[in-house]
Amino acid sequence: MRHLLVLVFIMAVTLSCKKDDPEVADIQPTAAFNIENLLTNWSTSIIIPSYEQYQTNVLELQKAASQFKASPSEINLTNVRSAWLSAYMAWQKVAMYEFGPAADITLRSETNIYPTDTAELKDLIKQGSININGANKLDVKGFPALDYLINSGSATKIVGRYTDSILGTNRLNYLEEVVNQFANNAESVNIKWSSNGGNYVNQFNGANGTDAGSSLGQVINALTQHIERHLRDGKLGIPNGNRNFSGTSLPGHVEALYYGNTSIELALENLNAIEAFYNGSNNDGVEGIGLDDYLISLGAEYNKGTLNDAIKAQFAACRNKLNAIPKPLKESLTSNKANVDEAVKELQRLIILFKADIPSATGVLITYQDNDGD
Amino acid sequence: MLSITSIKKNLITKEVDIAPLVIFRLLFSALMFASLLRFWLKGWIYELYISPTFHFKYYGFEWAQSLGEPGMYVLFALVMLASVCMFIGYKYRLSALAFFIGFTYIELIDKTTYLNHYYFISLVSFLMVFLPANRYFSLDAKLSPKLQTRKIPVWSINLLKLQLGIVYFFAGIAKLNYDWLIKAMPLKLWLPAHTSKPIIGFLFKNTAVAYVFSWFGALYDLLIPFLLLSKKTRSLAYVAVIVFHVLTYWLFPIGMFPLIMIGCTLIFFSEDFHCNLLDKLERIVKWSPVTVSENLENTKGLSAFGIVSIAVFMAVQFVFPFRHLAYEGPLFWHEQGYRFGWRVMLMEKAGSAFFYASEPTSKKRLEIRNGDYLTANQEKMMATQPDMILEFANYIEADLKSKGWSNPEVYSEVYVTLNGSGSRPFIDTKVNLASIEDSWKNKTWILPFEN
Repeated sequence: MRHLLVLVFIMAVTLSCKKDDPEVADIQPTAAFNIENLLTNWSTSIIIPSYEQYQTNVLELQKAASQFKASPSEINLTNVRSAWLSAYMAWQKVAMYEFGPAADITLRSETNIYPTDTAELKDLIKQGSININGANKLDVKGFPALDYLINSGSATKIVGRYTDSILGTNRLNYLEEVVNQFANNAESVNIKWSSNGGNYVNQFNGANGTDAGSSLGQVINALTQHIERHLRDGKLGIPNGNRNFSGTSLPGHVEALYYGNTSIELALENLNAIEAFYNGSNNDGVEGIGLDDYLISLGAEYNKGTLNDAIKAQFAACRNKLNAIPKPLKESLTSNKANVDEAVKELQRLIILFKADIPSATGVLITYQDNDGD
Repeated sequence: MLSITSIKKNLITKEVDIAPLVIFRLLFSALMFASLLRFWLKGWIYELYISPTFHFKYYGFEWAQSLGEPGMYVLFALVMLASVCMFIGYKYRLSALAFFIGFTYIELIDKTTYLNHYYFISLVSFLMVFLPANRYFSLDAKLSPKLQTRKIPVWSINLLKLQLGIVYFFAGIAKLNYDWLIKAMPLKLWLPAHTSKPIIGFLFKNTAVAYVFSWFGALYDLLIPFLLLSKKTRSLAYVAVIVFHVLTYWLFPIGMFPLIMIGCTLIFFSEDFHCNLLDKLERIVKWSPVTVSENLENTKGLSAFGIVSIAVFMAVQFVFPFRHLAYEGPLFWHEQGYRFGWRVMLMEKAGSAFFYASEPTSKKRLEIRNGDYLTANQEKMMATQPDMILEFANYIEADLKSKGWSNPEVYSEVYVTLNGSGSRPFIDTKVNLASIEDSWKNKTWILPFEN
């Protein structure tokens, strides 16, 4: 028995000494980190206030829309437009939380599928229908539909549509229904999160493990998917033609197409919100416990530096490249394609950090399956 | 003095009581039934074998296709039925064979779900086909009393011990590497995620604990077969078996494996232990053995053909885990020859893979959305394993051809992080993967780990 032990130790030592590895410094996890504190900061300082802000903006939009309905004037239209833009910006701060209450009602799809199918939308108005429920109506509602309804022409022209003797009333009813659905959805999500309502916040803060159902696991999966499909692809890649066979750009696929000049701002707002969330910063910019602190406490590395530094640098790189795209985006798709390509590329690097490095460092699981491999 | 004859007697021909084999049959088949039932109840038959449009194939086993719906459910039901028949010992040999074929077929459908313990189950169920595990305390023996015996040659039990020993010992050898022993990787990455676990959770933030676990794990795997063989250390060793597997069950999502190993290693216990256990079971079900003469053809040893077959079967298992030596570079990075080598929970690897298709003549260019073809689990597993990356690229090529592309090229951009190295380029982005077919040859398009 003893001989065997000795043999094993010798084998172990010989094998281990085969390679010396000066490149990677030893990982030294620092002080204890409590995941529940991270979750609590996320939910109570960031997610819930952001949803509340979103709901406030949506209610203002609703108010403006009902005034416009009562009296379709250019002034009232201007109010709807500015309320729409504020709400759209507020939406960028919650769009990525597609788990829990938001996932229950597929909030992101209900709110922001673009481009809008204007042909179908016009058809519905002609029929006097305001039935925009169900999976096949996702592209005739939400911010993009509203964008078409209020921004697809000069104020005079738009007001003219709503005062049209034949279809004016149908249009007003349709507009009202789109806005009401915003309000209902925002309220539903807020009630479910609230400790006075569905109390999802309690469940969220308590699921402090790292398995696929844990809050950390859900958050990382949701952020990764959002950055990949909605930020990189939706806001840039798809308009840039990266996903269609011909590879030609599709200016009609930009976010806020009719408003025209805000696609980049919306993308930046979204990126900044994701970064703030990563840092644990609330909407006033006050930093609390974030994923950055967790990665630091784990001693996570990235090549020769820390993973946190790499991620922060990558957020900054993405922001720079987004800022470098001349506005409006729909024109830059053809006139400054290289800038768009570069922004897409930087976002892709951010995706890699979220998809490979963060799960690896935190040990969160992406799927529920048994696993003995890695 | 050990003579050839006495070795042969001790390992092969010696008559021993059948009880250990019977208990093994009962435990193994019951655990198999429970595993399959769990799989079914978790909805994994649908999730893993029916809903995916594409399955990753083992080299040479491309013919093993999913049977779809309801075919897969029927197949699972049949394999579960086979495990029930093994348990009660009804048409035992046929049911063991059916179990082996059915179970192995399921595993061959998709490489994504590869687990070492599935491989273990295939091997053991294959062995079970040839073992006389139904000759006592079984329906077969009840129906055909001539079959019944208490005595069997010892080789059947030794064969199972050897099979189990191989699993542990090779898992131990696999842990003798720099990352595991000197850097305590990947446990140093994994354990801190469990600091919120009750009672001993606080320990996991301490790096030293990762070292203790790594070294204990390696020594455990290397030594446990021998400690279980020796009478003196057996009880303590079994306590270690339970502690080790319960701990891994508690910390990692490795499913039924710990329970299966805890059950199977009972085979190492003494004849007396198993006889007592069997007596109790006999009393419970009121089993009345017929009197059997103890010295019939039952005690035949192994034929020369049997010995050679076993030798070949085992030799393959001794050699196959080392096939990675034929490939250059770090095994954990390129994973050529990684599977079927008892490499369990050995590394933390995660990746992110992007694919681009283009057609030089028409200037078509397309970024592939992996989710259009793969499930989240498939995408995750594919992103770190070169053979799967290649297979997926070939599949994209075929799919685009079916959509009217005449000559699609497929390029990849893959980043992988290994044991906390930080993500780095994994696959040569300039290589058209559509032009490459998988083979045993060294995959030169895998980029080196260090650069």
